[in-house]
Amino acid sequence: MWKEAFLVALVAGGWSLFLKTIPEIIVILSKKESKFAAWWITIMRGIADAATYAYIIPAAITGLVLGDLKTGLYVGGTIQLMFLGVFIVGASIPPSPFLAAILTTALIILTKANIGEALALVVPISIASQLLTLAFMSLNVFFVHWADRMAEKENSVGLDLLNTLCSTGWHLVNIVPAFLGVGLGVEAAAKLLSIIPDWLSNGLGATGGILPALGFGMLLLIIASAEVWPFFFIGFLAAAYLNINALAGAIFGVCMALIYVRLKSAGADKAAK
Amino acid sequence: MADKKKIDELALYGAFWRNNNFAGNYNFERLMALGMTQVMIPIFRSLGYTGEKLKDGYKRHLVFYNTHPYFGSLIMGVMAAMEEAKANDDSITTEVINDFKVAMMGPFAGVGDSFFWGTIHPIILAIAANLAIGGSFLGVVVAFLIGALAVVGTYYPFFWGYKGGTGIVEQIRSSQLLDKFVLGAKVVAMTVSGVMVASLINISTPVVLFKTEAEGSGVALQGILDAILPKALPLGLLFLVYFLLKKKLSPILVMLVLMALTVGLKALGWI
Repeated sequence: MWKEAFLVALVAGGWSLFLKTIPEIIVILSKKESKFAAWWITIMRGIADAATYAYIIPAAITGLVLGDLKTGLYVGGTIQLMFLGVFIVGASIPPSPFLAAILTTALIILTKANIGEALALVVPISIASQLLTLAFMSLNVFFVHWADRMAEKENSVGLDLLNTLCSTGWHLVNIVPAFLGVGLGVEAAAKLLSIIPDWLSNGLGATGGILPALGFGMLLLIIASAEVWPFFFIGFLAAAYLNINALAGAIFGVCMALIYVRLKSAGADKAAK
Repeated sequence: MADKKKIDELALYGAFWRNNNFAGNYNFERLMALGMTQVMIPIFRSLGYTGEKLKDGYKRHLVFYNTHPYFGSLIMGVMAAMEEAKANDDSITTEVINDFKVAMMGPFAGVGDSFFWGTIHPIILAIAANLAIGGSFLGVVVAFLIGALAVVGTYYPFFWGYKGGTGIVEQIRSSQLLDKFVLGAKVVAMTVSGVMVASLINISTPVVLFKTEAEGSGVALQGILDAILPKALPLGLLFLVYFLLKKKLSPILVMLVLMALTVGLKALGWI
């Protein structure tokens, strides 16, 4: 299983150690900036960002390297919909299904586990990886104090390397569990799934349709106000009665935004006169 | 006076790529403080800061900082412009620089959260997910749009911020462009959320009321609910979650409540 574990670890962020971290370290140590390096690193960051937010990507690529793209796409898409709208907002860290997308895909492909049952593991793994994130954020407090001491000594290269390696740390938080999870955990997880009673796995399977409520609840918590609540209900009713999809909803929303913002500022101008 | 100090173009690109690590040291105490500081390293080097001046520069930026990862790069660009101004005119104080940062990070986080997290990402991801579930690799291709947005969404704001300096913010403020943009993004995000709550949250009930011995007797509860308001259960569920979050329950706790509720109701055969 260790060959598979290595491939999965590369997908989970191992690639970025070679393609992003090493070029960054070269630029920092040589103290020579170049446009090419700047663009290269930024594009690598774009790819890493896409994989971080779009769980379809790590799941599908895991499927690809393990020889079953279709399963990867299906698992990735399903998990994506469960967690739509769940983002880091302010300083609150929500459960993240990035690792779960990779590990669940690997579990299904490597042990031929039932897809519905395996999806029951998504939420527990997401919560575990959230705890890892919180642990890393605590560790980072120590690093920022170290940075204070480096600033005191005017150690520019040290500061530069420290933040770059902290960035890499976010990838390590995924790479190491992905490697160990596939290397050691897949068979144990398959055994665990076989002893979970039916009523429990049925219930956990049904959370797929329930969990999007959390994402949108969190989103509304930051953007909702008395002024904009009516637009939520317009969107809701349009979808409930007319079955419009997300893209149509967005176009609908842009039209209303243009009208509403214009009317409001026209009213404010009039009041000012 | 000697030559006016100016940031070298390549140093600006150095700051631009370091901006990608804004959240590398994301921590509970000062959030993105070290990320902000790393962006300043090539700027200080290019402006020839040494000794006390360099030390003060680093200390100036190693303070609490938190904003949106993409639009926030505009603040980084303005910071570069302000440091350039300070290198030429020492009357610009640390307070001026930090006040600016603190004043801007909230509004920019607001725009970014509504625009990227609230609108663009859910739309792209919902389309990509549906393609992927249907077995199409196109889903992955669409998902990579998120990465393209990250690159474009940091490049332009950063260089606008540097070129416009503090002036760009005056411009944004006087035309109330930012306020309008935040409001517009919120309207779109609320509409899209409404659509997605109805189309994505999947909960219905097989419960039959007034059931007697006779075959096919009774009234389906879901039928009654649909007659009153289609998708009433998803809406109710959303309000339950919203209420719990408003009561300061952590997302993780809400997630556990939802799981327990689902497993319980499913075992009872109510959903």
